[in-house]
Amino acid sequence: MKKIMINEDNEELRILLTNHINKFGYKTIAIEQFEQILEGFLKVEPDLVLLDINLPSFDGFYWCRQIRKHSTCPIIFVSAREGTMDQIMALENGGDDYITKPFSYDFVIAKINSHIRRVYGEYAQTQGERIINFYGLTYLPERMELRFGPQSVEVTKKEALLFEVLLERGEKVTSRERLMEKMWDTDLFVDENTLNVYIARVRKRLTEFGIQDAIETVRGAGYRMKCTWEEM
Amino acid sequence: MSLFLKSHLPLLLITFLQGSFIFSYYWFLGFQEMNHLLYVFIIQVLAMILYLTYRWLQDIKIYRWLQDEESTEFDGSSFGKSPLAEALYEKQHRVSKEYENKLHQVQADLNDRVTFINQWVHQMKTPLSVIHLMTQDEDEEIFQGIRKELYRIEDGLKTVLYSSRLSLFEKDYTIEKVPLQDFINKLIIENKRLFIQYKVSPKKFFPGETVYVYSDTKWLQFSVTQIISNAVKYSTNKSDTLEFRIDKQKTRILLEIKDFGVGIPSEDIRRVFEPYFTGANGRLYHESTGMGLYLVKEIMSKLQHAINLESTPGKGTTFQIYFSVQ
Repeated sequence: MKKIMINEDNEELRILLTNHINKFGYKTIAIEQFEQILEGFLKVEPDLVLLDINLPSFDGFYWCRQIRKHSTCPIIFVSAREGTMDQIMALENGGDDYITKPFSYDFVIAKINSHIRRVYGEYAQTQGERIINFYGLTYLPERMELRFGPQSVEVTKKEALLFEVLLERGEKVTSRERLMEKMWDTDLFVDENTLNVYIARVRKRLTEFGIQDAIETVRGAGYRMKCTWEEM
Repeated sequence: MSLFLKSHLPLLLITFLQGSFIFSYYWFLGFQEMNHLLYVFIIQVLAMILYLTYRWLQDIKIYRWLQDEESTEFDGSSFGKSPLAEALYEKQHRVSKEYENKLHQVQADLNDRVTFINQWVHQMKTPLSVIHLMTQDEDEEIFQGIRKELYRIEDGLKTVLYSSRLSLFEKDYTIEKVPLQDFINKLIIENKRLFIQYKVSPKKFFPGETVYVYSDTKWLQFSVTQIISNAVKYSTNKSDTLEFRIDKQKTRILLEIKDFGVGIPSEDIRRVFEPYFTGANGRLYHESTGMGLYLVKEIMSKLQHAINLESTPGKGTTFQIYFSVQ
């Protein structure tokens, strides 16, 4: 299991980051003694470091230089400073990447994964094929394939995006905005009406498996998955 | 010359009165020899002329400088060595030193203020990140509401940051070659929540080949985002498209952002670039600070891009940015 060291002086942010990164199969070590970051680093020997710039006593640039004297492990800066100068400083002081606050979980995880993959080349081992499972209804994003029991069906790109979000969130409410934003990310500028069309298509797909009413409409909020079948 | 004469007029007058007095004193005393009296008179006039010439030559530079309409610069050392010139120089030197100090003080205060605001905005970003992460996975109505307000705070902070940075613009920009289509595409994705929230879709009219412009990415990004944010807000319930057009012309490159929204009332159109001006639309939509377009205008003029705004009430607004081809 890869070890990730988190240096963030805001306690809430530290806890949120730690909990979230843990979910993705990494071991996290959050530093709380900011005068001894280097000592901590040498003791823990992490595979990747997340480093804030504004830290008590010395700043992130300083610690980055200290760590670089001992290790070449990936260091990602996480900072509220968005200026080009700060980003250049971060890279020149030995940083590998730069994330500005506020950021999304997905973005941080994507950055961590990409650096781990690049440096340690263990994509297949740590990741495997992604499978999203909702009470036996599974979706495989890499193959754009939907499975239910022995049956499987290939879906179109747009349906794929919707299934990915809906099944991953499962019984949690999914807003229409979230679905639309997901589609916009891939340059599909979907509007309300088009989304209705796609939702109808996705529902129809499920009927191919004999599943009815699994995508529930939540008034004023969006959609929610409901298990309307006997779990397999 | 005229100032010199004017300032010496009282002296001339008094000398003349004095001469007349001496003349009439001796005349009425019975000493009525014209040639003697004339001799004294001529000597007096000569002495006067000599004195005036001397003064004129001595202070000519001061008078010339005083009467020169164009020159405002003070160079006391070139005024010569007369007591007046030296005193003037010394006094002026002291005064300007004082002003200089004050100016430095103001400049330093301004720098401090910008630094403070920068730091403060950045500090606020950490709690914002925390709220973001805490609510990110939740889509219940209440969280969607919180998220919307969160975005507003973020936009507000960005405006604060950029307007305070603007006063130190000269130290804070780098001109680069920017691929315009790419730049706009990224900006659209970045602002997707705005488009989605206001139910507007972008429509792109881009030429096939990549068009490059020379600009500062950060400032341009902020400006175009402001324009987009205005355009989508005023499109609500009226139109669902926002057009982006890039056109390579002979001597310039045009970026056009065209909405089909409410438009700007003709009495407001000239004032939309003024700071704090919100106009009828701003009052209607309650979201305007009146700073957005003002900042856009300031930034564009600093980056030397020309802007043009056309609007028909009820039909829509067209915003054009012209980049010169280098």
